[in-house]
Amino acid sequence: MNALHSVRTSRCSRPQSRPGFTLLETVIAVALLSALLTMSAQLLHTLLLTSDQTHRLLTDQNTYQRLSVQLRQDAHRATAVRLEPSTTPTAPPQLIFEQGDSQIVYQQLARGIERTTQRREQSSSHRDVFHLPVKTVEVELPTPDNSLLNMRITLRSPVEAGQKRYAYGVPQQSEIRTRVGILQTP
Amino acid sequence: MVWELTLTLTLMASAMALALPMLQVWRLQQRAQARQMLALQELSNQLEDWGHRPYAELTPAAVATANLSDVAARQLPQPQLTLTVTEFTAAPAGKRLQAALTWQRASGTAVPPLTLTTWVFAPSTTTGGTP
Repeated sequence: MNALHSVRTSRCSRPQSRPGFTLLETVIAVALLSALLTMSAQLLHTLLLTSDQTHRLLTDQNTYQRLSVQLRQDAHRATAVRLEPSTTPTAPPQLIFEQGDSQIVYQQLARGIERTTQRREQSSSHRDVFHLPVKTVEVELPTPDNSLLNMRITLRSPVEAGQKRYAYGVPQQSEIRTRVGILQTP
Repeated sequence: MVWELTLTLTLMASAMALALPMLQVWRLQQRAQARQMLALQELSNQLEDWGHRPYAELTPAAVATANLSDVAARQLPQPQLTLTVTEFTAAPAGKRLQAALTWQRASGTAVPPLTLTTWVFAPSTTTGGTP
């Protein structure tokens, strides 16, 4: 009888406590882990976006510098400059530099500014595109008193250009001023 | 349990405290870079304008009237443009035209002046030909 009683007692008593976690501890740990993962993912996303923007901004800056150098070279060697309506009715006017037997045409496109060199006699042409998020290009032609040509470029804002965050690397508006005809080739 | 929670929160706060200033610095650097580019373009424009004027017109009094363009004045905080002309008589005689532009950082301190220089030679000393 005593033996049976002892067996019953041992079956009904609480098992010995083993090391482990309570439900509350587990819930808190999972919550903290989720918060950490969310923050890490956001940080990683921001860093990737930052890297992408830096790459794009450096490219834009290089393109802008190339455009300003090229425009000045063309203007310096030009014998005449004029604005002509574009072949497409809705497109902005073309800026045309005359240089001896060739003509250099600057035209604003949706993806940037296009420069085309056309040689009359050889009927050949060469085309460059300066890829920039250009919104508007305004040109002030030289006057008889002043041979300075002024090209004012306004870039699309990052929101207009489809970027999620504001990007600072390139000025929103800039000017390229250049003298026309100071290095005319005979 | 309180100890573990405190440790985790401290680690999280440290990670955020390190990451956020880094992003802030990156944004400030981008803005500074844009301003530097704008200033460089403005100085190029000023030299393009003044460097190709008639030689006799290039005097200290004349360049003192130089004005910053609207575009640069609007986008640079408190910009200050300085054009100086230094004449030299040693052969070949000419003038050195220096343009310097400075503006203010967000902290209120002035950026070290960005400087471009060009040399203009007297018409009689030019030897002809195209450069």
